[in-house]
Amino acid sequence: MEMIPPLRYGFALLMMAVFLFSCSRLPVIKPAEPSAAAALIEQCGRTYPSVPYRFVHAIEVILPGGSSGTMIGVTLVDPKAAVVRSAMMTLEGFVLFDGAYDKDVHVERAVPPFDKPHFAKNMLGDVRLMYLAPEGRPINAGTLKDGAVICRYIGTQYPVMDVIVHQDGSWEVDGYSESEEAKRRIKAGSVKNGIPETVELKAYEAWDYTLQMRLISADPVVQETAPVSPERQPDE
Amino acid sequence: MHCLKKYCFVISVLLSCVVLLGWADSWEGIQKESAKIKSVKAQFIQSKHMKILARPLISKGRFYFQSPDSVRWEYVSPVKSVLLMNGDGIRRYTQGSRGLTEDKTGSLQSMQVVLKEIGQWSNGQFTTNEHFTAVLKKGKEPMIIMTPREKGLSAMISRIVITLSSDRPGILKSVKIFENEGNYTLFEFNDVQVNEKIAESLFRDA
Repeated sequence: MEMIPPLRYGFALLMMAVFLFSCSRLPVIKPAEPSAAAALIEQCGRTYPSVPYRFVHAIEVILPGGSSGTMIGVTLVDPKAAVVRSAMMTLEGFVLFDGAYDKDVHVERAVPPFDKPHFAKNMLGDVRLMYLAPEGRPINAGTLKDGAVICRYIGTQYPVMDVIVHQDGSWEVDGYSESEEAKRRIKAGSVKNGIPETVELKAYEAWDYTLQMRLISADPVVQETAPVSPERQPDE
Repeated sequence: MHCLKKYCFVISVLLSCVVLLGWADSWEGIQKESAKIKSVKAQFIQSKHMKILARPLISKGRFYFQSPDSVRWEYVSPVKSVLLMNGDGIRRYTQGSRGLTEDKTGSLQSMQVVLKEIGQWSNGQFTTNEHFTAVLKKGKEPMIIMTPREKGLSAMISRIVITLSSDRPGILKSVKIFENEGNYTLFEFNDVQVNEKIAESLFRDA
């Protein structure tokens, strides 16, 4: 049976509304009293390292269709300088990518296909999202329906960013587009002494991907050792 | 993908060297000892050195080889992973969020190159390899130093240093792969057993 025109338009409007609703996933915040908001924002900030840290993770990359591969990731974070450096290698130790973000992207080593400019930018962007507090200004702080603390920022990396701290200490960071469409969702779990044992990052792009990260080691950076130079190997 | 193909050369060096290097003062000696080795079992410790790391990143595992072309390259820590290579092809399984899952990212296609390379190395054919030049350094601890012939490969691997066991013919002590300044991987082998029976299932089941 053919739909009569008014019904067809109505159906189209309904579908559009459903579509818009599905894209608009900003959680509803129950705003805190102005006097309490600062404390909540401080609590959100405590999810990030406050001193330089070095993290080593096993990273499982899951691609559309479910295919996956595992790598080792090493990340240095300097929160005060807002600098991150990250290297990614195969289990056999072959370094595929080594780069840093220090106001701009710097690539030290990248082998194909990890030498594409957008790869470095996206990868270091994901690392910043995980380890550095949002650079933008907070616009709202409060709680969610389940009691979790939430802080919302007008971000520089993403137009809208939410940091959510759950009562069990686990946390989330979500980045949204201007149209409030989720672009990144990060969930950190099994938090011990402020360090999550697991981190899941979901990226919603033209080519979605998921990173499942399992912590191998986390150490505060107290003093960097001198670079190991191949020229001073004793056995050669 | 291209880089993975090149990386296969490194892996092939690593695998084949454990298997096939004989005690040698000459290339002829290496080839002669190579022919005697039919199987190898060994444990290995992999130390990754990088500027970004304050201390080496240590991985441990086991290695099995059965002539002519069966290999099990298994990591037990920090990430459980098994690479299986036999007459049916090559597969890799890694412990992840969904258990032990087969790597389907396509990198294994590149690993097929390993098989071909191993065939060459397995005959002790270092000097005729099209991808590396090889220099044999005699001494208390004999070493083979391999340098990429191609510019593209040398951008990723500057050289490979293979140290032979001084007292056990056919056994190597370590393989060190230099990528660039301050970045190298050392594989050290221990508990090496040669020409012992290895269950066929080890090369088939993860």
